[in-house]
Amino acid sequence: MTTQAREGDAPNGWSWRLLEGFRAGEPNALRDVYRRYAQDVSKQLRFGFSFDSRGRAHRFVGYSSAFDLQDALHETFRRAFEPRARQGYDGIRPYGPYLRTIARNVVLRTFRKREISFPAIDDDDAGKPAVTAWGDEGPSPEQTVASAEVRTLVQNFLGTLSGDERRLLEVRFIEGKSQRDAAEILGMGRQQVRSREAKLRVALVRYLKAQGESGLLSNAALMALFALTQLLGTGMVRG
Amino acid sequence: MKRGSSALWRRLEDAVSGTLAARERERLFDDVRADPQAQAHYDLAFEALRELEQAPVAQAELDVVEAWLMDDARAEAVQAVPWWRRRSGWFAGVFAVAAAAALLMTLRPSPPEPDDGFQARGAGDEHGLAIDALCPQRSGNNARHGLVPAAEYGCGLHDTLSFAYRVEPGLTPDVLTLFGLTATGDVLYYAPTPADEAGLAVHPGTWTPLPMVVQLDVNHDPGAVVVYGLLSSHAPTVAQIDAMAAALAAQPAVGLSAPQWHERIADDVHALCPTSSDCESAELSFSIHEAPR
Repeated sequence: MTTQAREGDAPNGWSWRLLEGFRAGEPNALRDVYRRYAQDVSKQLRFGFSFDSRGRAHRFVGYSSAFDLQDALHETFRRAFEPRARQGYDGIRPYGPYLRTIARNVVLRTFRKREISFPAIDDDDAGKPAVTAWGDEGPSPEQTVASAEVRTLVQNFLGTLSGDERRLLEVRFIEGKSQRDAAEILGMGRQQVRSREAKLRVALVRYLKAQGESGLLSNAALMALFALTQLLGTGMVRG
Repeated sequence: MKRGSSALWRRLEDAVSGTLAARERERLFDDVRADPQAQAHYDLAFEALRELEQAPVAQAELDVVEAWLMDDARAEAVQAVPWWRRRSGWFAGVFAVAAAAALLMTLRPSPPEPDDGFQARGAGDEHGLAIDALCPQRSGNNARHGLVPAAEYGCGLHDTLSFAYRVEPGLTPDVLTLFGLTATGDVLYYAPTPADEAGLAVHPGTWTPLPMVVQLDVNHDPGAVVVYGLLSSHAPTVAQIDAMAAALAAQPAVGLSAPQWHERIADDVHALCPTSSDCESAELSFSIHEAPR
């Protein structure tokens, strides 16, 4: 995420109040910083990145497993939000690249634990990555194939919804409107949009559970996801 | 699927709706780490949400991690308040309100009967402990003996805060602990305190005021405070209070039908309450306003 500094803001584009609150560890400031950068970091973890190690090109293909991705995303921000890291942040260096460096290190250290040799990288060297990364390269073919089965399940789930519920999903996720804009378009409060979204998420999880109990889910989707998780357990594809 | 899969799905539902308590999250993640099939179910749920949202990473995933990080931050905030700061704040509070305390003791009402309109607060009225927090009357509200329930009317930052309790006769535990928790995770020690770890011996049967008042502007800030009362056979240490506060801070908001709070964090109060029937607990919340009410 690129943040343009405005007059009166800290050099990294944050307000001075946010920078002060962040360094003090105030929950609201931490939440604000997380929300600014979480999506970008999560995409890096989802789609992977390429890098050089010992003169050879490698590629991390990204986490397909949601659990692994969330674990790595949490670990990235947990390290960034540690008191020493917060208090050492001067608000001059851009924060996004710093986070991406930590995320990359989280990934590489995970693979070091699996006894695959990669060079150690120091989190403190923000802006001086020990590896060369070429950025996001989109979902892999394997991810695309595994998603097809899930897509069918979700389409079937959508068929169980009312017109109002489908309209809400369309406005929010097809048209890409914010909750605030969606509330205006649909003539309801923002809190209503938020709570209806939460209910739809729960309804989808219940639908998946019901599919699993009736045996409709057990093979295709689960096996595809499980196999993919195992395949990506090694996670590195040499370029 | 394994036997625990219904619990897994229930926790998944809570996770995607943003209502998963910290302790439940740990259980969910432990299950997922230990069981590949559980991870496949977990991944399937979020893969479906990604598909629903037409996004590479679902908003629900970002929300799950955000809640996780906020729990980390709360735990850090509770640990970060140094003991000497807590101690000096408490001392300052006690000395500043000495005169007010004497006044309250002089003016304090005779203990009201159980049907006098005081409400047993917290998780229902049937268990053996009820607590109330009281602030001075302002014109226009329905005062009782010059004091009004803080939970109903709130308190001004420059007010004094008093407490009352009622314990059902015949109960074995006889030591009362009271502490507060602010929205930012700061712990407020009412009894025991870092300077006096003895706790308060209770007198069962009727509503009884505590022999102390707190001058709020000494070590309180405007905002919400949740007060937790615990009746146990011995007083907790300050470290135990900190641990209980950290566990409670990590819990989502609950309704009146929820179990007593010591049951909700059973693992964290085990040393004090080996079984849930060894203790009784109650809770209430009130707001402190910058200006007089």
